Amino acid sequence: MEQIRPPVPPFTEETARQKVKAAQDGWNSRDPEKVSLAYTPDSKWRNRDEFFEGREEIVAFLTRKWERELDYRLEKNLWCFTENRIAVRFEYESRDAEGQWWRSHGNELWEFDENGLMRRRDASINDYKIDEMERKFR
Amino acid sequence: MTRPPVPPFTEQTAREKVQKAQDAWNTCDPEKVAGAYTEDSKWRNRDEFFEGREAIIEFLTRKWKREQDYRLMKELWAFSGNRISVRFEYESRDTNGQWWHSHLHHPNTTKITAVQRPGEKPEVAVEFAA
Repeated sequence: MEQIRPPVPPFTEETARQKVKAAQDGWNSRDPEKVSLAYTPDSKWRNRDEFFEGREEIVAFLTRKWERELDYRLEKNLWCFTENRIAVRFEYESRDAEGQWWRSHGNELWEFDENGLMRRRDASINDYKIDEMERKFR
Repeated sequence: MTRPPVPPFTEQTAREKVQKAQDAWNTCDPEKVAGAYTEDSKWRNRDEFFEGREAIIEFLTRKWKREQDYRLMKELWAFSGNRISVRFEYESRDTNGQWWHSHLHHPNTTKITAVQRPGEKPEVAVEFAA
């Protein structure tokens, strides 16, 4: 069955922002199954130095991610867009099992299929330690 | 100072900017590269935050001392108004002779052997002054 996930490309400034907001809300739910549904069944990902594809691997990846990154809170911002592509900057904060807080900065490149599902995600992310007092997202 | 092409970008001028950036970075000449950025250009490079040409030159000098035989490929991803996003990949060799394949920032770096040197790409977000 064909899945449609509006808005669909080509994006306008408004629909590109909607995609970014939907992704922010989805990831903040920290629900791997739910998040994976925004991607095509064979979606190709690069996340830092990991390369994988398909929803099953996305769910496995996100499950591992959020087991490690506790109290995860994310903000995404639109950088630019063309047709079916969107570039995003993001920041998130999380706590590790030892109680150390981290802030992570990243850039993402997204490409969507005609139904509005993301078929490619390429993410570069860098982390550094912060004090609990420095948290921006609460 | 004008550095054409200027925004708003078209597909063609966005590609020109990307090509120029690729060519400049492949010179590994910090002074020359810094000339493409505003005097107060703000950078995040992995976990380093700095601004201004002096800091850019200092950063690039350190970078290319560490990354030898640096070879970079940049590819346009998207553009709107005065903004461009690109994917890039580069390969370099460290002082111990180990080859590295890098996607955008260093933590996204994977070790490769010289014979494996492939051809892939990542990203960066770039904003141009009007």
